[in-house]
Amino acid sequence: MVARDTLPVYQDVVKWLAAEIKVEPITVPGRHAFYYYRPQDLADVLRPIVRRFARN
Amino acid sequence: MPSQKVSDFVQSNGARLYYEKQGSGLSLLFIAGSTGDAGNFARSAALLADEFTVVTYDRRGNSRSKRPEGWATTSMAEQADDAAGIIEALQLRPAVIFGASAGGPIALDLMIRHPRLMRAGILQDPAIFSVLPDPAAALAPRRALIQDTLKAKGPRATIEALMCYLNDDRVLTAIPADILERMLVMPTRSSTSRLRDSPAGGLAGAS
Repeated sequence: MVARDTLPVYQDVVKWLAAEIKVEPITVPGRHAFYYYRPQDLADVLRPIVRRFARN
Repeated sequence: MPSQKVSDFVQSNGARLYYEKQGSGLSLLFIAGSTGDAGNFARSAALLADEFTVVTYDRRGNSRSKRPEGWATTSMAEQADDAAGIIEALQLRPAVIFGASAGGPIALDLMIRHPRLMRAGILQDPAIFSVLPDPAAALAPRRALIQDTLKAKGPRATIEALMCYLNDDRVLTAIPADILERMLVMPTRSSTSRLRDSPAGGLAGAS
């Protein structure tokens, strides 16, 4: 998961990691600590992911 | 119906860690980055507790989780073992882990060394800078900011400057006041802590 407006170093790490483990990164709105500004957004993005693993 | 939120301490890997637990269902453990604590995710956790068991905690040496006696430095492995101890002690197994920033490599180390405790890991902006072609160059502006501000204005101003650098000037008003205050007093207690390299990657300057 990468914040859309985070610093390039984090974007580069996420690109590397996503390629390495073969997943598609999820982009969330805002900057690095977006959850301070947007706690609902973090909950909204995590809910379906965690729900999926609850079924497995 | 979510269960009532519990705020307590748990013994994990030789440390007494503050945690908050609420909800029921599959467990979701939040791991904060280097300047944050359980409060980072308190509002998101409350929103998710209608469906999941949600746990947030203060990593050792941060905020309400005091330094163990004689403890001066840490490693990704130690931090991951702390999280593993929480999962075991609070019976969260198997848990989904969310690690933000420096919490990302901790979550990754947990996934590598404690896979049986986990259902999945989600990393946000993970501070795994060792994978970059030139980590020192990539982190040079941040290091300069930290060194210059520390020298000129002290640790509290340095944390403020780092938070603004990582986000924007609005971040200091976006962070709830109690969390911000814990964050700003932390350097005076734990500024010597250093996260060393681990199998999950280097973290120089992690945040």
